[in-house]
Amino acid sequence: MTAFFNAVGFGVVTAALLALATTGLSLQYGVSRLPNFAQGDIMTVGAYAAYAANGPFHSIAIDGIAAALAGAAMAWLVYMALIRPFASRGTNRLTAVVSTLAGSLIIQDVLLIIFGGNATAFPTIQGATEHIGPFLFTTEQLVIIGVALVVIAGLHATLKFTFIGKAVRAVADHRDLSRVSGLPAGMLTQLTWAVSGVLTGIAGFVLGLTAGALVPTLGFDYLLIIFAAAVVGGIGNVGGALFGALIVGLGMTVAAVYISSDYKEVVALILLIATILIRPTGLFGGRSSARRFAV
Amino acid sequence: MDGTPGMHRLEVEDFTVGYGAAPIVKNVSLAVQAGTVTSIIGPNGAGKSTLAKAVVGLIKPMGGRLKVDGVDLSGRTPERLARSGIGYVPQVMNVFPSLTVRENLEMGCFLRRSKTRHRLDAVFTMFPDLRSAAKRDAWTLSGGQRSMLAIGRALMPEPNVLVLDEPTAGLAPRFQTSVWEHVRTVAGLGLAVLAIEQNARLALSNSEQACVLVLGEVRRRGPGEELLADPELVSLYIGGGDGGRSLHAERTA
Amino acid sequence: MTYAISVLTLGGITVILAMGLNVQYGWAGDLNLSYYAYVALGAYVCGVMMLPPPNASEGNFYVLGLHQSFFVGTIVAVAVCAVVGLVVGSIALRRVTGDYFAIVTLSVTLIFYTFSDQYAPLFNGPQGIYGVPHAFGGVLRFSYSGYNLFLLGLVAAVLVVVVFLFEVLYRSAFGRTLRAVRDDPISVSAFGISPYRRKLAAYVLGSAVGGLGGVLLLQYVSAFSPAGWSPLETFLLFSGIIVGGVGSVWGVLFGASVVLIGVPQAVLFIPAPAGAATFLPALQNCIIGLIILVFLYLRPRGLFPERSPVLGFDGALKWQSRPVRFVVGRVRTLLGEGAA
Repeated sequence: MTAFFNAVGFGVVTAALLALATTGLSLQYGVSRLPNFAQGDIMTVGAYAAYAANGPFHSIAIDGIAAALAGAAMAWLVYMALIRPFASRGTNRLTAVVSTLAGSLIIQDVLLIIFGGNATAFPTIQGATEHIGPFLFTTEQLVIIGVALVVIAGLHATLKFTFIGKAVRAVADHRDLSRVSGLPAGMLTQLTWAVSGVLTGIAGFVLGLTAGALVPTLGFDYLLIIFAAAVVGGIGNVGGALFGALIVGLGMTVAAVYISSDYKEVVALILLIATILIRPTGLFGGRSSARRFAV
Repeated sequence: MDGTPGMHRLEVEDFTVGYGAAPIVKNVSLAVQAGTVTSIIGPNGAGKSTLAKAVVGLIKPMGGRLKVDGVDLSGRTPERLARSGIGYVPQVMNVFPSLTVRENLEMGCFLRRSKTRHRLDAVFTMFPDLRSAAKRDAWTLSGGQRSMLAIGRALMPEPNVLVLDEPTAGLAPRFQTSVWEHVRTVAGLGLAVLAIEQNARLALSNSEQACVLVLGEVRRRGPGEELLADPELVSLYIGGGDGGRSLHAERTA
Repeated sequence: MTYAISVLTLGGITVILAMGLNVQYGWAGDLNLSYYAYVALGAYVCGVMMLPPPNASEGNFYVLGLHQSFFVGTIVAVAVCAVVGLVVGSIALRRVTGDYFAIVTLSVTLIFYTFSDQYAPLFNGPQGIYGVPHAFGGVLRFSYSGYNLFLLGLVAAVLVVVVFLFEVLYRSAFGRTLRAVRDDPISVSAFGISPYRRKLAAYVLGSAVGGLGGVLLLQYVSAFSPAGWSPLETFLLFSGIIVGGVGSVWGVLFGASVVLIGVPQAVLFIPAPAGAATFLPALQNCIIGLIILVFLYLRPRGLFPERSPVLGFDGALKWQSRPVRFVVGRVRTLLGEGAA
C-alpha cells in the first residue's frame, strides 16, 4: 500500500503536467476546432528552451519562463503556419491533421539537428520529501503542482472575468458572430494560441524535469496521452481537462505500480480509444455541446 | 442617429455571390433609406441568406459594390464593416451561448467600450425582458428572448445599418409580431434596415420596400403594401398551400 | 551496382506501401495512422513463420517458429494482416471517422509497438527477429548478389501486379463508390450504399497490401525489430501520396518514387557535419515535411490529380453551390441546388 501512496504523488505530478498541456489543447481547439498533432512537440520545444536557459542562468524560475515564452512562440507559429492556412479555406479537416503532423515531423527533426539524438541530461532539483496525509511528495513535486494550479486558475479567472477572456470565449462560441460584432477574431485567435503555448511550454518543462533527459521525441511520445486526457475530460472544456488529466495521470501511475511501467502508456491509450468509441463527448462533456468552451 | 431623410444609407449594386462556378445570387441591386425597412422575401434556396452574408462581409461577393452613406465599402472584412456601422443578426447561432446576456451585449460594444454602460441602458430600455435576464447564460434563453438578445447585441455599437436574417425563424406567431414591432422601432431610430423574412405577409406589411428573390434574382420589387395587394404575388408566395409547390416547379423547370 | 539494386529494391517496396495507403487515404478518405503497424505485423508474422523454433538458450523467444517456406509465410502474413484489419476496422470505422479515426489508429499503432517492444514472447522484444532465411532459398540457391537481383525482380513484379490491380479497382464500381463515399457519405447513404462497408473494405485491402510490403521489407533486411520502425513512418508515406495526387494510382506511383526514393538519395549529396549520424536522416525528414506543407498550401490535389473527380475533395462545399453529376455504379442522378 505504501507503494500505492508514493505512486499517487508522482501521479498527481503527471496529472499536473497533463492538465497544463490539455488545457492548452482545449484552448486551441476552442478557437480553431481543429486537432493539433504538433501539441507534443510544442512541449518538447519548451523543455529544450528551459534546458538552454539553464546553462547560463541556473535558475529554475528563469527555466520556466524560457519554456513558457518558447512554447508561446512555437504555438503561435504552429497556428500561423499549420492551422490558419487551412482553417480559412474551409477544406477537409484531415488537411489540418496532415499539416500538423508534417509540422511535428519538422519540429522533431530540427531539434534533432540542433541538439543531436542522444538524450540530453536535464537538471533535476533534489528536494526534501514531505508527507501530506499518507502521500509522499518531494518539494519539487509540490512546486510543480502549485504552479500548475495557479496557472490554470489564473487562466480560468481570465476567461471568466476579464473582457478579453470573454471575447475569446465569444470567438470560441461562434466565430462569425464575433466577427460581425466587430471583435478582432483573428487577433484573438492568435493570442489564444500563444497563451495555449505558455501552458504547453511549462508542461514541457515539467515533463523534462520528471523525465530527467531530453530527446526530440519527448513530447510526441506524450501526444496521445494529452489527447487521452482531453478526450476523457471532454475536449474544449477547462474543468474537463483537469478531470481528464487526473484520471489519466493517476491511471498511468497506478498501472505502473501494479502492472508494469512499460505498459503505463498503454493504459492511457486504452482509456483514449474506449472513450472515443463509447462516449466521444467525454465523461465530463456532453450535457450541452453549446457549453463546450464553458469555464 | 440623425439620418438625412432621402439619403440612401445602404446601397447594394449589382451583387453576384456564390461559392463556385455558378453564383447563388445574381446581379442583385437594392437601396435602403435611413429610417425605413426593406425586406427580402422568396422561397427556400433563393439565396436570401447568402445575400445577407455577403452584405455583412461573411462571404466575399464575386462582383458588385457595397456602399454605406455613399462610401464604397466593397471587399471589407466583417470586422471592418461592423466598424463602419453595419450590424447583423444571423438566423441561427445569433448569440454567444456560454456568455451571459449582459456579456453578450458587452461583446456587441467591443468597438466603443467607453459607451458600454450608456448603450446597455438604452438596449435594456428597449428590451425590458433582457434586463431581468441579464445574468443568465444565453444558452438558457427561450427562442423569443434569444431573438431579442441578438437584435440588442447588434444595436449596441449604434450601427447605421441593420441586416436581419430571418429574425422570426422558429418563433411562435405572437413572438414573430413582437420581433417585427421591434424592427419598426429600430427603423424609427433612423437606421436603414434590411430584413430577410420567411413570413412574407408579416414582412410586407411592415416594410416600406420589398424585393422578391427567386433563384438568386430579384423577380419583383416595390413598396410592401403594393406587393401585398398584388393577387398573383399573394397566390404564389403568401396565399394558401400552393405557393411552395409552384415555386418548386419553377426551380426545377 | 549493388548500391543501385539496393536503392531500387527499397524504393520499390516503399512505393508498394504508398499504394496500399492510398487506398485508405486517397480513395476512402480515412487518415489511417496505423498503416505501418500492418507493415510491421506482416514482417513479423512472415518472419516467425519462416524461422525455426526459437532457441531459448540464446535468449530468443517468439511465437510459432514453424520453419515454413517464404510462400506459406507470405500468405499467412497477408491473411493475418487482413483479419486484424477487419477486426480493428470494424470496431473503429463503425464509430469514428475523420480526426478521431486518426487518433484511434495512431493509438492502436502505439499499443502494438509497445507490445512488440516489451513483450518478448511475442516477437523477441527489443532484439526483434533476425537471420530470416532467403525467399525460395532452398530451391533457387542464389549467390548473395544474385539473390539481391532476384529480390529486386520480385519487388518489381509485385509492384506491377499491385499497380495493375489498383488501376482496375480504381475504375471499377467499387473504386468509384468508395471515392463517392469519401466525398459525400450522406448522399451515398441515400442510395442505399453503406459507407461503413466500403470504408472497411478499403481498410482491409490497404492492411493486406501493407502486410505484403512488410514481408518484402523483411526479405530486404532479413531482420525486423522495434528499433527499425516507428509509428511516424506511416506519415512519410503520405508525402508520396500528397505530392503525386491523392487517390490517383499513377500519381502516387510517380509521387512516391520521386519523394521517397529521390529525396533520401538527394540529401546524400549534402555534406553532413562530422560525427552527426542523425544529421542526414533528420534533414531528409525536414525536407519531406516541408514538401508536404508546400503541396498542401499550393497544390493540395497533387501533381497528377484524380481524373474526373466525383465531387471534388471538399465535396460538401461544392455540392451546395452547383448541381453536380453524381456517379455511383450505374446510377446517374442530378442533385438539385442545396439551400444556400
